[in-house]
Amino acid sequence: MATLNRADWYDIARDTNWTPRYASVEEIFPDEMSDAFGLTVEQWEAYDEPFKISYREYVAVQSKKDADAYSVKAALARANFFDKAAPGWISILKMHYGAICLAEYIAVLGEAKMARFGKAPGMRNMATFGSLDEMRHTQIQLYFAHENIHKSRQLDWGLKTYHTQNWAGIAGRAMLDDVILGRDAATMSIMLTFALEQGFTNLQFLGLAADAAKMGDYSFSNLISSVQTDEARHAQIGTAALKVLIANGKKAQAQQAVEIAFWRNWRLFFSLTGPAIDYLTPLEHRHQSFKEFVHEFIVAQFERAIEDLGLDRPWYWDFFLDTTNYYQHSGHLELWFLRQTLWWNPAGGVTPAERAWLEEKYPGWNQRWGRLWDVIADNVQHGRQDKLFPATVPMLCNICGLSIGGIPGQGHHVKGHWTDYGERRYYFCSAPCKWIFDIEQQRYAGHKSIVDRLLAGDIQPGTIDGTLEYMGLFPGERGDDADDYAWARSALPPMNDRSAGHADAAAGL
Amino acid sequence: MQTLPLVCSFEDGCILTLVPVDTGATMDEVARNVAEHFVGRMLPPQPSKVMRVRLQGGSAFLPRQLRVEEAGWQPLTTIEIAYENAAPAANA
Repeated sequence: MATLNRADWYDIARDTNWTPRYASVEEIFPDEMSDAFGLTVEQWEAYDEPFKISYREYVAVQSKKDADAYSVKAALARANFFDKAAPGWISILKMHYGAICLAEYIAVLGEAKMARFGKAPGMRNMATFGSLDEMRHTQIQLYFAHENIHKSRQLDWGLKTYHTQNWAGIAGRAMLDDVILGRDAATMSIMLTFALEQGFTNLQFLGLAADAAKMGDYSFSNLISSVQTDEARHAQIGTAALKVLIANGKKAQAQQAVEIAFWRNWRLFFSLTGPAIDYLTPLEHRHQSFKEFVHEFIVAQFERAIEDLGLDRPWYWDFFLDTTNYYQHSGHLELWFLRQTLWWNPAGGVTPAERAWLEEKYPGWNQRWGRLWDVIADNVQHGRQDKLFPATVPMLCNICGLSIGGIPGQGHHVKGHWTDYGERRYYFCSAPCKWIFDIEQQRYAGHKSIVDRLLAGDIQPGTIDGTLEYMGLFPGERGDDADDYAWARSALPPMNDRSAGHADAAAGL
Repeated sequence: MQTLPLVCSFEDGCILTLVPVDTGATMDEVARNVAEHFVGRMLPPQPSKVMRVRLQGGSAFLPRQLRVEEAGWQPLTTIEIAYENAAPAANA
C-alpha cells in the first residue's frame, strides 16, 4: 500500500488543538503553566517548528544512536582508557557527569511541561520528543558514569550532585529551577531551549565531543555526539516560539527572558567549561582557548540568532564580552582553592609550558594570574599546607551561586553588588545578576547560599569538616590536586622572562 | 563584643571573601585579619607598606583606630583593604 509523504500529513496529524467541551481553554492552559505572555491558542497556531519528524522516524533514529553509543562503549571497555588518561581529562569527565546527568533529568520535566502546556501544537509535538531525548540523556550518561565508579567514588556524583547541599549543586539547582521548573512553557522554551541549549550546550557538546576524540576517549566522544544531535533538534523549540511572540507584540518581554537566561547560563557555563578548556585539557590536545571558543561559537552564533529574530543584543553585552578575558581564570583559581568541596580533582594547569600557552592566548596572564600561582607554588615547595586551602569562604552570589571574581593586579577590580530586601542583604557577583534579582525580588528572595547557611547557623558544626559533610562530601569524594601538585615543583624562569614582550598587550586586556 | 561578617577585597587580589571581624576591632586589626586570607596564600607580602581600610568604592581610608562598632556597618558591608599611597582602584 502506498504511503503518504510526511509533508502531506504531518501538519494535520500534529495539530491537536481540539475544541474543549468539559473545561475552558483557560483551565486547560493556565497562564502560569502555559504562557506568561498571555497569547491566545489561535495566536500560537502560527508556531512553525523547523524540524519535523514522525514518532516512527524518531524511534528508528534514536534506537540507532543508542546502539552506536553502547556498542562503542562495549568495544572499548577492555582498553582501560580511564586508567591511562591524563588526570586533567578524568577530572573533566567527573565534572561533566556530576553537573550534567541530573540536569538532563530536570530538562525531562521541562520538556514534558512544554509537551503538556505549550499552547502551540508544534511545540507540544517537538517537546514530546524533547522529553524522551532528555530521558535518554539522563540514563545513558548515568550509565557511562557508573562504569568506573569502582575506580573512583567521585563518579557517584553523577547521581548525587543535585540531591546534596553542595555549593555547586545549589548553584546548578537554582539556575535550573529558575529557567526550567519555575517557568511557564512559553518562557521556558526561550530560557531552556533558545538561551541554554541553542546558546551554550549544543555548541559546547560539539566541542566536547571533538576534544574527547582528540584525547582518544572515543567512548565519551560517541556518547556526547549522541546527546548533541538530539539537542540540535529540540533546541529549536524556542526560536519558533520567539517568532510568534515577537509577531504578537511581545518583543520587550521576550528580550528580557533571553537576557535573564543567557546571563544565568553564561555564569555556570564559564565556571565549568572555562577551566576545562584552559587548564584541565592536556596541553598537547588544546586547539583553542576558552575565550577563542566562546567568541567563535557562542558569540557569533548567538549574535546571528538574535539578529535573525529582530532581537537586540543584551544590555550587558559589552560587559559579557569583557568577562571572557578573566572569568575563567579567577574562577579556576577559586575552584582550585576550594578543591575539597568539589567532586573532581582540579589540575593546577600552570606548568611552565602551560603558562607559556596561557600567556600566548591571554597576553598579560603571567603578570596577573601567574604571580598568584607563584605564591601558591612557593607554598607547595615549602610545605606550607595550611596556606594551600582557604581559611574562610568566598562570598557567593545569591543569583548564580558562584564566587565573585575579577582581574588581579589592578587594585580592586573585583566589586560586589547588593540589594537590601526584607530583613537581609542579597549579594551579587555582577550588575547583571543584581538586575535579575531586582526584576522580581520576591521570586528570588529567600535564597540561601552556603555562606548564608553558615552565617545563619544552619551548618553544624560550622567547621571545615562539618561544612564538607553538610555538602555531602565524604572522604574519598573530596577533590584534591589532580597532579599531586607536580606543576608546583616545576622550575619557573624569572617573572620578567615570562612576561617579556607582553606588557603592552597586557595593558589592553 | 560580637562578630560581624564583612565582604572583603584585597588590593591586587581577584576574589571577594567573607571575613568575620570582632566589632571591637580597630581598622588596623581588620586589615590584618583580612590580609590573613590573601597575603601569603595568593598574594606576595609587602611588609614595608601600611594596609588601610575603606568602603568599596570609597576614596578615603577610615581612621586606623576607628572601631568596627563605631563605623555603623551592617552584616555583609563591603570593604577594601588597600596599601596606603596606592593608586585609586579601577572599577569593574
